Amino acid sequence: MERYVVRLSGAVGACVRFLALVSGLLLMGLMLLTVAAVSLRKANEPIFGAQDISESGLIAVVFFAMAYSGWTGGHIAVDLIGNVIKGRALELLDFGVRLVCGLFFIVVTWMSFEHGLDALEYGDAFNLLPIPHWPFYFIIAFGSGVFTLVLFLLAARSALGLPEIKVK
Amino acid sequence: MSESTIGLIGIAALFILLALRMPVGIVMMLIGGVGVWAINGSKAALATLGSEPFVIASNFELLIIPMFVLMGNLASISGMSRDLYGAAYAWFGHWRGGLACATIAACAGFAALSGSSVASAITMGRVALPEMRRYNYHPRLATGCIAAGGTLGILIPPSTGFVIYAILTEESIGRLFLAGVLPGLLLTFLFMLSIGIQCRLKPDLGPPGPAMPMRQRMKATSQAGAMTGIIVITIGGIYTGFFTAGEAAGVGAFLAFVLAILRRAVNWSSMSDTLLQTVRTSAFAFLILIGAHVFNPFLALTRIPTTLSETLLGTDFAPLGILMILLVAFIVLGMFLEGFAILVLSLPIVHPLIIQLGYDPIWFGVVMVIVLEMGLISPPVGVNVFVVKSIAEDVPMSEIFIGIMPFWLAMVACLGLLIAFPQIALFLPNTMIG
Repeated sequence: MERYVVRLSGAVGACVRFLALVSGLLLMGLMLLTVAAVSLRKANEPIFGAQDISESGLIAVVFFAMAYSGWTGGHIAVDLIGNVIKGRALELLDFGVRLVCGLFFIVVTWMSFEHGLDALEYGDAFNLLPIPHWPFYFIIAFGSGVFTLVLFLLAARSALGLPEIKVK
Repeated sequence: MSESTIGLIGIAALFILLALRMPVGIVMMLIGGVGVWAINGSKAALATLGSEPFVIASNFELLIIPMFVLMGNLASISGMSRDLYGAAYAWFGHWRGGLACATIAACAGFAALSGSSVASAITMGRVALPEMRRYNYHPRLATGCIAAGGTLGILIPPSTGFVIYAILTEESIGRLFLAGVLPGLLLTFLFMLSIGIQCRLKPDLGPPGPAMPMRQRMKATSQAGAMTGIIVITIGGIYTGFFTAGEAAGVGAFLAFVLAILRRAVNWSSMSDTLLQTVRTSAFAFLILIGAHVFNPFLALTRIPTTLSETLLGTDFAPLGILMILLVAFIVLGMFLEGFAILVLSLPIVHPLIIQLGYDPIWFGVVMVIVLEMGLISPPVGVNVFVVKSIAEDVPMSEIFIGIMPFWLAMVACLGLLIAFPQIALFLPNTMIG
């Protein structure tokens, strides 16, 4: 069991890191878009729908990085009990908490997917450009789904007493 | 079961789950979702959980968070922290306690490029601590000034604390940023004053370094010129209305990127680390904001904020008395809870109350951020203290906490001045153009 979890950890770690890098590159793209939008607006040649592109891009930036943040312990928690409980008891506590989080995020993933289907059916779109909403609901569902997987895997690691993932 | 009872059970469950180390954003989403379910049924709860992630992640104003985080991280890799410290060192290094003053000044400068206190403490700590050790600074003063100086990161704009406050209270991010400038400079001065007093009382805390000739000082100052240019363009651009705070963030990040390229600090390894760090921090900030937007409607449904406001306003306390109670409560909470958690959990209750008491919400934003800063260096969970401990492993925690005390008192003095003279915070936003 431990061997499979370690192997899966390696694959999931690489996958969420890749997604986070995509998120970072998209952010660089949004940075360049912002500079271009400001410069051209000052030259009376505004980019039509630049805000729509930024808003839709931001969704991908956030949800492609959500799982990486969770995998590397980036989502802040209040660590009071860590001073009181140590060792195996703390690992079992983390197992329970991460399991609950994972189960809850199944609901979030499922609801985002449902909203995506609704947006597809009703043809919801951004304000100026006809960019539909539905692909971005599916990106949220995808990002939340990968985050759910990460939460379950972290729960398994806690249950098996494997070390926490470290980031530089 | 009444709505208030459901609310109280929800708040109790929230604190229990927080204590069990569940991530803050997920706790708020979970309790908010279950709470709305209990009051308005499953359809409303599931609709909220499905729609809020989209609403928050597509909020154009929030693009400012990853952009300013990126700007700070790019400033770090391009060596601007060293330039800043070098310039401050050249001017203050020969004073008694001068290296500690230089650290505070450099932290204030770096805070203008980075919205994170932890990033400021790590970056400046790595540069300043070896120098202070070289000149036999007492570890108490050396570590205390880095931990305290780092807290300037969330007061001097750009500040993620102000962005989250603005989003949750629907105040202007630009006005909040400008409101943070003068209090940030005041706190920088008070920190330096505190170092001066400490070194006068105990001269061996911070022996003076060698004095530099004027030419060397000017050279060191000019090396920090590029960084100063970025700060002037971003903050000046917001002040003059040339661009919005969000656009300033994008332009600032771009300029920091160009500077990093010019300094040959950009390669695949440094860039991928920078991007990963940026999106990691941004994702946690967004998860907290999504959680807050699921939790706050639940809290509003329970009417607890309204009831609490009415109760407090019905007492014989003067507005100043109620404000003092709130600040003391925040300082105590800051000893146990993370700053962002306090912000998102308390604002739905406190913000309406503050407005009813007749206080300016922009001013209160600044006051609240200073109180959160105090939490960053308060025992037992002061985040910045742990950051400094990770750099200065041989210095005991107790020694760091003792070293922090004078700076903590300087923050109390700063709060007192802000309460007595609110114009310190409100002058710049009130004269803002555009």
